[in-house]
Amino acid sequence: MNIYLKLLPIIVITGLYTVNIKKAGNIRYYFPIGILFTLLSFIPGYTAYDTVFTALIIHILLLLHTGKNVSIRKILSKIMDFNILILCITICLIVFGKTNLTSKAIVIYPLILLTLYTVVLFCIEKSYKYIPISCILSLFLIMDLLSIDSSLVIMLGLSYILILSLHENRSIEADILTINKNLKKEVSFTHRYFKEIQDSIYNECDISTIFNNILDGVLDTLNADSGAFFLINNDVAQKICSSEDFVDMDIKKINIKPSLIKCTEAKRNRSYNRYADNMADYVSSLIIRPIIFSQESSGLMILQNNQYRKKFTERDFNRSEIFSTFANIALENLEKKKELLKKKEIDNEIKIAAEIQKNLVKDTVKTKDLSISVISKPAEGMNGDYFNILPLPEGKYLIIICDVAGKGIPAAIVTVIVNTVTSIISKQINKASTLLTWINQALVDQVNIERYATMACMIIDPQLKTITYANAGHHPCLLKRGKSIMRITTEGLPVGIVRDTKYKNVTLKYDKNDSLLMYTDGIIETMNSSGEQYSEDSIIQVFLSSDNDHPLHTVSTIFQQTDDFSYKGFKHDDRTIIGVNL
Amino acid sequence: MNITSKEHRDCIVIELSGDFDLYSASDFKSYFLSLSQMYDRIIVDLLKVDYIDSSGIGVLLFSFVSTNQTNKDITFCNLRKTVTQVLKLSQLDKFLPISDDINDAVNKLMREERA
Repeated sequence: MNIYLKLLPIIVITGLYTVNIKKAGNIRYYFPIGILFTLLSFIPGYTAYDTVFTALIIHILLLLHTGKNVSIRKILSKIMDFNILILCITICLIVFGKTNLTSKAIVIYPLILLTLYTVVLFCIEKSYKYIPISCILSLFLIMDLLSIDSSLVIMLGLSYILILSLHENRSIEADILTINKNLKKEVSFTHRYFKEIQDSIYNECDISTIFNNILDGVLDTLNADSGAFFLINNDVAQKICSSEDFVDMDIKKINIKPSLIKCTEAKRNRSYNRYADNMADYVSSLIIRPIIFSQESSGLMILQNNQYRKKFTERDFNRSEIFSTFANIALENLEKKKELLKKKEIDNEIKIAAEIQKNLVKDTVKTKDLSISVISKPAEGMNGDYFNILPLPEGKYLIIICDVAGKGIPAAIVTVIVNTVTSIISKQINKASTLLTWINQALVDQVNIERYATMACMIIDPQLKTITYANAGHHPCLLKRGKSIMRITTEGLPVGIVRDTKYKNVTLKYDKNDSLLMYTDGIIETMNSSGEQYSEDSIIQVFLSSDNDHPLHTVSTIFQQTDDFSYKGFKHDDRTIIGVNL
Repeated sequence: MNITSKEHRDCIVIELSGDFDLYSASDFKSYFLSLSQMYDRIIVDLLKVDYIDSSGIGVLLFSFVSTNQTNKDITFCNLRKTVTQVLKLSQLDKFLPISDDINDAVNKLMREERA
């Protein structure tokens, strides 16, 4: 017979078989293969030896194929089923007289394999299920060799295989059902459990309560006897919570890798079973898992079994990771919550401080001669801008605008110093420059140079209709007369830089219906998405177009415009604008 | 803001690029403090600084005053128009030592040394 024709069934059967292995462990998939083998035996010239040869080749091919996706145990079990099938077919052929006595050799080959697999499976899986069939087949062989009628034995063997396959199918289904049920239970437990812990983090900040909850969960889930959580502080492990029967351990090496010690008796010298003589302090098995927090081990979870020979399994060890991870998350959340609370506290304090700062000055001053409006808005929290409007003796008014470098609390503290100096000496000054000199001297050497301030002072005398103005590096004051704008400024460094800076005054007469605008750079440096600044030109435009009504209209229009002009997400500086209608 | 430095004819040139604001001011300050211990002549190159706010100017003032106190020299050069404008407005353009470019800065520092 053509050798290629003989090889053809091998290829077909191997292909079919490989597909079947990948599909599922259901015995009915082998029936097509069984039929193929049976048909093979009917091919004229295809001897029983050829069948054995084909089976052998398929086995070798299958063994070569093993190890890629399927576990060796699975393959062994499949080959076993396959083997039994071949065996049965061969026996059937003998019974129906299709083959002669030489076919005993055919029986011997699978029998040897079968015995081998039975032993292997017994060792790996502790599975007894193939032992009866091995016995039955051996019996058949012996009876056949002794020429005793063996048809009863064959029938017994076949029914056993049938029962086995039926039972296996059912037991797989039952297994899947149980696994599903258990999984569902576990998922709902885990969900409830994690939620409880999360709630306890929200409700309380006590670390030992939270870890106690986690410990209860892990002991319950893994059926462990005792456990404890340690936190590492300055390289020393501190126990934060433990269950009742926990056997204390010396933790010397902090950087402990996740470890599973199944049986402690093999390691007598270790710290965990130094009390092994005393049964109350006996540790039979141990799981140690580090709690990793920001890439450093910040604690340990230790689980113990204390009953004689009660061991943790690999599965317990793997599952314990969820809890150490969760402990880590809880720790992280706790840290975040503490930070948040602290920040909230600071925010509250800033709010109070900002309120105090705001109350230091009044933004509306009622005068019969002038109308004055101010809007001052800090970037956030406390204000680094300062203004004040104070009545002076002889019916005069003092207006101050000041912008301390930087923003927030440091800048706000400087504004408080400026306010203090202003309120102490304002009643005694005649010239605007005097106030600047005093404030400058109060700040130089007392306050870091980085907190210098630009400021401008103005004394308005409604009787003489004069303005006296002094500037310390601030933006010029804008004076509107009719349709023209005048910029008023004097020379002088900002305050807080050079002790003996001399400030100058400029005095000018004003007309009725003149108006003034003073502002800080937060207004003109407002930026839009194309990187353009709001600029002084925009202020002048609004200023010119406003009628000579109340200055509040002008300052609020400008303020609103800066809000609209800025791009989304732009961080405003502190902004202050003062308008005066003379 | 990016801060780099290189030596140039017995001077250390600190090159800044980006926005010089509240957030970058402290970076510059610590950079300056570490360098100012090692060098007597410091040039701050502001060629790539488009925007400076009061915090930025505050740190420039700090660097100027602290070098003065330790008998060292500092100068600021390559100021862009926007930066000059801000300095002019607060009238600090005459207070801070400003040079046109690196060569001018080096010459100034060397001249002061000789004097």
